Amino acid sequence: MRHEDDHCEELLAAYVLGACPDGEARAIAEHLARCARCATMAQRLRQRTDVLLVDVPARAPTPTVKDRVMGPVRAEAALFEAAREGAYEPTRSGRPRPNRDRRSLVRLRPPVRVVATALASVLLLVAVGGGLLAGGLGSGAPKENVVLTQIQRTLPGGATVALEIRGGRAELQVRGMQSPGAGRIYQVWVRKDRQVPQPAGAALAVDARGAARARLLADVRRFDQVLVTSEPAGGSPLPTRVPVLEVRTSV
Amino acid sequence: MRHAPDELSRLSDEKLMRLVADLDAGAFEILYDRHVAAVYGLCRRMVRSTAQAEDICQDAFLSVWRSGGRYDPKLGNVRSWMLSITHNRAIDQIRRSRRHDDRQIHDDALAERMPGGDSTDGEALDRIQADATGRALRGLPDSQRAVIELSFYSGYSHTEIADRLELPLGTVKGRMRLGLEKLQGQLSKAA
Repeated sequence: MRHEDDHCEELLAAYVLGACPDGEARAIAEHLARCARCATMAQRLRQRTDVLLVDVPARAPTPTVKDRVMGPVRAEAALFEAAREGAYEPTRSGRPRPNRDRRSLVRLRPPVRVVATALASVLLLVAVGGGLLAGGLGSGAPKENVVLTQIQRTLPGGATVALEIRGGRAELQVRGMQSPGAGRIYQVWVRKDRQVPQPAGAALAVDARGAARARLLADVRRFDQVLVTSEPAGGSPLPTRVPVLEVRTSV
Repeated sequence: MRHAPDELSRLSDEKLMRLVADLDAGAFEILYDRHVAAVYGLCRRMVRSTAQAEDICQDAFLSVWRSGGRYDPKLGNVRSWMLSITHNRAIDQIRRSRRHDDRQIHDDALAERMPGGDSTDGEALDRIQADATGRALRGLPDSQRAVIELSFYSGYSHTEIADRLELPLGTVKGRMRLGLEKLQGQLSKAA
């Protein structure tokens, strides 16, 4: 429609500059999906905004930024590698299987078992409202379950933590948490029935304000606890320190 | 199979991204080293606080790592893709800050820089971070440069810019369009 085309054309520059409010941007995106002429114009203008992305002076950040990036990256890479090899799946005895791959990153640090009864510095209970977890396991479960956390205690210094579960996937969020220190990361684990913790496939990269969030790759429905420990930047195959957080996903 | 660092450093960005998609941290580190100055430069261009810029830089790179498998070379080169992710993260952060605790600070800063009204426009626009303005934008008339900078780097919507500059919305949209149209020409001249 001509009128619609004219209206879209008028807004295209604002659209590619990101200056349209959400509703307007959605309407333009929908129009572009069905109007080749406007889509071509948008593409041409978008190439100009690409110029703006590089049209800034390059600057080096402080070296700590690299630590904050590469810490979680190395940890997650090691966890994926371990998960691929199944090297740290607990056996019936609760002890991890030995890792036979000498190249594995996770072998660089000797595994240290966390004593199951060791008290976490903070214990948080996640209240499972309305049978949400149980519902998530059932065949008639809704597609998206949200478990709201009910924090019993907060971390010393006022830090807070929240665990949100949708289906079997969980996202852990912390605020006001102290940095784990140079060369260390917060690594996330899952555990069931006080067995040996398993990597949750996530690390918390705490920013300068102490905030971080991480999506757990592990299906939390198979476990009843989420733990966080401070580990060397490369990550550990098993926790090497007592947890700084222990979150129960069932009551 | 993982590659040695010297071997990785000889690979193109696109080849490194394929390894990153396969969760190769060594390949990702090479990409980080290659592009961090551009990414952080964009962060500093968009936010004034060093801490905030570093947070966005960190967030952007972790996002690149975690979405490495979604990189599509057909949509542009690796650096542009990384910078787009960074830009999106920075805009999100800027808008969050503006909506919450920093709202007054941003508004005051803008009001100081942009007293409003077409007549004082030119004088005010001259004060917009002239030192940070890149080569491509320098050749544009101030009025066009300003609306592009305020939208693209500072995250203001067209209506916010029109309100604060006390300009008709159509004028702001027109300046955005003319400015973008001229950008390519400026670059060609400078090259």
